Amino acid sequence: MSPIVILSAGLLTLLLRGAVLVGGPRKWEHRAAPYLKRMPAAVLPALATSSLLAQTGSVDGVARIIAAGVATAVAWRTRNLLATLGGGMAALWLLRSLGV
Amino acid sequence: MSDRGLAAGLRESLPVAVSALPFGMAVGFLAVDGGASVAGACAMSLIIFAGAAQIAALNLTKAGAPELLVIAVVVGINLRFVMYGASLAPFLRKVSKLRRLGLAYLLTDQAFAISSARFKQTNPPARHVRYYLGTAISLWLAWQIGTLLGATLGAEVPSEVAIDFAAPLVFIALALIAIKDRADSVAAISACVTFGALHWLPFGLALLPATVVGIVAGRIVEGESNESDRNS
Repeated sequence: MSPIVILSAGLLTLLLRGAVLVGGPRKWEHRAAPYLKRMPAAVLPALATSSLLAQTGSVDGVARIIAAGVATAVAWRTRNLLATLGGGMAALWLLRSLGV
Repeated sequence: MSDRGLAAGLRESLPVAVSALPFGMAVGFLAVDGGASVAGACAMSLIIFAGAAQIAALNLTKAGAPELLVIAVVVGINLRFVMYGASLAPFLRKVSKLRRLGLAYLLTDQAFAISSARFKQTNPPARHVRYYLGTAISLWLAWQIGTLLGATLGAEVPSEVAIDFAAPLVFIALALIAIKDRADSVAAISACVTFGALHWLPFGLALLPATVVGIVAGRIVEGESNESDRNS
């Protein structure tokens, strides 16, 4: 990539990141608040789906989908990041050792 | 109190930062593979600092796409940062504009995800800034170190380790932490179904319509339950 492309892409990305954050509160934000409140609950599961689907093409794709299901159950019960990581990883290693 | 915010942010984002390392390595490797120098690969990660967009841009450049298209695709993929910024802004407005520009530069999927799952209106504002800064800095370091490693050593992490599987696991955990009521559950399921249906869109662009559908669905359910509360 040419330096011009990298600099333009970087500058535009910074503009997107700072678009709302750097400016002061705007009139529309009051009306947008109830929608923004739901954003984490909408975008995080979509990110999870996105990053999982990106990996289902690998040789252990089926094991990864099942392990993600196990991790979802652990996350549901515990709401704990490390427990979910541990449970999902353990499930993947177990499934692989069983030849899934 | 406020220093605890920084330490807590660093600590709680550590597993997430580790899971970002192989992603950074892939970007470093792809850049060098496409003809960039090690310094060029690192400069790209410093200047753009957005993984999905960098990978898409590198692939397009390798395929000989016109430069304007590459820039347009980066902007398309990174549009989600506007939503993240809008969602975090009420918590991060207590510092000067220049510092907010710094906070904006550090904004990532992961820093947003961890912070938004933890932020509460009741916390003191300084703690929000410190906590966000902690999560954002650990992700930034992991990204730059990963890029350098990938550019110098290659992208290979032994596949037995499956360290890349930590990425979906982290988002699954943060998603469940973010779901707090029935409207959130509806938002989450709607977003996943929409993403699955639009998965064919390139470069993960399905994330935008999926988020919008999820938010609207959650809002509709919330409106209905408020109405039934009033009627009962």
